Amino acid sequence: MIRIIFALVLLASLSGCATTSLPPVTSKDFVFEEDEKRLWNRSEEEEQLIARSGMLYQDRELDAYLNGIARKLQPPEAYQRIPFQIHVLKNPYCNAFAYPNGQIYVHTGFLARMDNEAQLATLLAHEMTHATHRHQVREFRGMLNKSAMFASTRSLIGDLPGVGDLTTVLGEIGTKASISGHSRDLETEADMAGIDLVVKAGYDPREAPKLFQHLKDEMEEDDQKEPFFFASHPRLKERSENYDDYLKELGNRAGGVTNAETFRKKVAGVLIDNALMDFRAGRFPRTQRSAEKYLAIRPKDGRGYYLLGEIARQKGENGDLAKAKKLFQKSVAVDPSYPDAYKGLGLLYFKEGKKSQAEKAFRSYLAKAPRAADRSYIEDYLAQCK
Amino acid sequence: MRKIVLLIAITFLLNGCAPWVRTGGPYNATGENVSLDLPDGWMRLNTDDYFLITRDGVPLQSILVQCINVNDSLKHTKKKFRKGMLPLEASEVIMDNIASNDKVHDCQVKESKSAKVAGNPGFRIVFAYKTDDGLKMKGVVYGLMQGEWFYVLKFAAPQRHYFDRDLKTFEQVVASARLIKS
Repeated sequence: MIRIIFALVLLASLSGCATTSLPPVTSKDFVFEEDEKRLWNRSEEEEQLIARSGMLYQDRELDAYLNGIARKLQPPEAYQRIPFQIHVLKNPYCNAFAYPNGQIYVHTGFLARMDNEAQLATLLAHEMTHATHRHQVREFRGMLNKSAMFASTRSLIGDLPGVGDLTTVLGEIGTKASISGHSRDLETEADMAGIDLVVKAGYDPREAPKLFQHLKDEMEEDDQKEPFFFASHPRLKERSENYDDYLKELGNRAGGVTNAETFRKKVAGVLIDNALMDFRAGRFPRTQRSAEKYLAIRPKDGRGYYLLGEIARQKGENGDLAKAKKLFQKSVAVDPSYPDAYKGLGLLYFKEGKKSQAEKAFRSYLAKAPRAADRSYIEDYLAQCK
Repeated sequence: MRKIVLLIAITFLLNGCAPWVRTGGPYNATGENVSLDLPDGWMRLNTDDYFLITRDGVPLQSILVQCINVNDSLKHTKKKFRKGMLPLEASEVIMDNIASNDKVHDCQVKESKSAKVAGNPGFRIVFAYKTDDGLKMKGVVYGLMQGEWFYVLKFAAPQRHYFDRDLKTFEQVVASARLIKS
């Protein structure tokens, strides 16, 4: 009986399968498939939703920079088939993803972690390969095939007493578990085809494995089991080893540009904005690292020192308040027009009972930020300073 | 044996389905240590951490009441409340928690000021944000730090129509709030 059921299941699943083997878009044999078109249409709907949600990080210069790197990575024939566009999402976690129609989203958190353009190129090349190698439609077909097999199984065994309910319980979890193995191969393909693009574009491939170090750092800091970027990806170690093997093969030929200086200048704004997101979420070590990185690029911007001061003030442990005061003073010294450092100083003095100093700092704050949302509190504290 | 299985199943069902209760009049939320007057015809849901009320459904308007110990972790920020915090400091922690929710985008504080909560000095914040779907939302948070406890009353609704319509009801709820044990 079991053998008959097994044979029927196999037949049913084979009859409904679509091929998951498709050539890349740059291939001469490329044909834009019907289900692929539907997937692109669906992608556009989702992209519109992202645009409406306020999740997009708005910085035209940065967008132009990212898209310029993407142009260097892909040959013109790929752009003829896929109109690649890189976007940045306001999100402090390390992640990036691609839609099949070439719309690629990179989190501010990932940009803030990276050290140079070569690392960024590695990430973009990986994501672009998902689109050029049509991974989404292949994965989608794989999923449908597995679902078809699963549905066939259910239709066949569902009528057997006591078994139908069990397949319902397995449902999503069982299907997803079977798909994750498929994704693993595609991710490896994206890594390997991606690193080829990085080398061809003249970037140093030795920077590629460092992306994994950033992810590992985030994972350890947040006590995550697997970082976002690897939610459905091969495990960290395995992918890092793929790159290592690639570099071994290259041997002495490995080399190229990193464009670290250009990268730092272009992502400076992201660094401070992302640091603020991390700060609000109470992830102080990350905030500190980003603020310090930012100050190395723009040492005369008071926001960096202010954030470092706020970390110290909010931690409030031994010696932190004295440290906070110095950092706020430094912020005021490098950028006297930046208001928040005065507020930080005012709050420190106010809690210490140094009313005249608190009053002076609070007045400076309100003078620099007359429309501050928290003006009312400051006015209350000023009244208490008299 | 069958009776035991049935009993266990019923217990699971009763525990699993959180009951919505129709509101109206005075309500003692002992878990939150707050007594208040709730509007007629709204529905209340109690959880382990807070209770909330809504009239047309949580996405359309909600009033949430919660009491948080200084040792408790917040859901979206690693920051914590501290005993002796100034109202401005406490207001920043609660807003950081709201803004760090990954379902909340473009969160902006429109106004933040001192306000009485349950007869004590606290704060009131007006804020705006967008949902994943791009829906513009508006909210008001009242907060109060009392010893080791932070009390929060939060109202959120779509900016269009619902916020203005139900804000008055929320303000009435806040005005009626009293701490059961101070």
